[in-house]
Amino acid sequence: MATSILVPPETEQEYLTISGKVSLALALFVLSQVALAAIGNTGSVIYWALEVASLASAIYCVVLGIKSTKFAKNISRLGFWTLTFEDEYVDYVSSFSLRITCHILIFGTLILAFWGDSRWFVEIIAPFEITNALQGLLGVAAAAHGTSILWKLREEELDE
Amino acid sequence: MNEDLDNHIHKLRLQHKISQQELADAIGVSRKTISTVETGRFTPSVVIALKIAEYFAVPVEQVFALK
Repeated sequence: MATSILVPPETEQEYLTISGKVSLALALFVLSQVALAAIGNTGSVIYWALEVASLASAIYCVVLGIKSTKFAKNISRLGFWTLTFEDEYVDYVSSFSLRITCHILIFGTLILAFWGDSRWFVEIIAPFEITNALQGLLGVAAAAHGTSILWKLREEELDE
Repeated sequence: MNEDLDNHIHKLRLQHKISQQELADAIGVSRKTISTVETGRFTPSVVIALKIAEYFAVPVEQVFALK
């Protein structure tokens, strides 16, 4: 059980929602960096659009990060950093999303750890390099984390 | 979703004329917890099951039952 002080469930839900948005913004930033590395043609419209997306997602990430600090005083230090919550459903969503992220990272890291420098693997991911592959893995994991949180916490019709 | 568990929270709420938010506030959980339990998408702990039963003043078997 989390060791947080008594926090309104809605506050925990709001904090987890912001965490999900941070993950999605981080995913967009990292994946746009990977795409920028692949394009190369710095004069193209796509390159320019990706740079804008990258900058916007970085700014959004920082803004949400600052916004999330206001929850630090409401949620215990342990819960704030490890995303553990008192409310059962919010804690379930947090655990669910972290489990998915963990599986993606383990699976991707295993591939990169054992075959990252193999000739066949380098040929498959060309023109990307191993650093880009790692960034891509991080981006996919962050996207999965954010999407799963926001999907499970989505607003639904009130059934009163 | 737990295919083996049925619940009568919606029926009990209608009988007592209370909303999901009111029930959530009464037992100290989020409305999302109540709505997902009610629709069977989330299986609550024994503690929440007992709190819901206590709120409606019925045995827990009248709130949750195996299909």
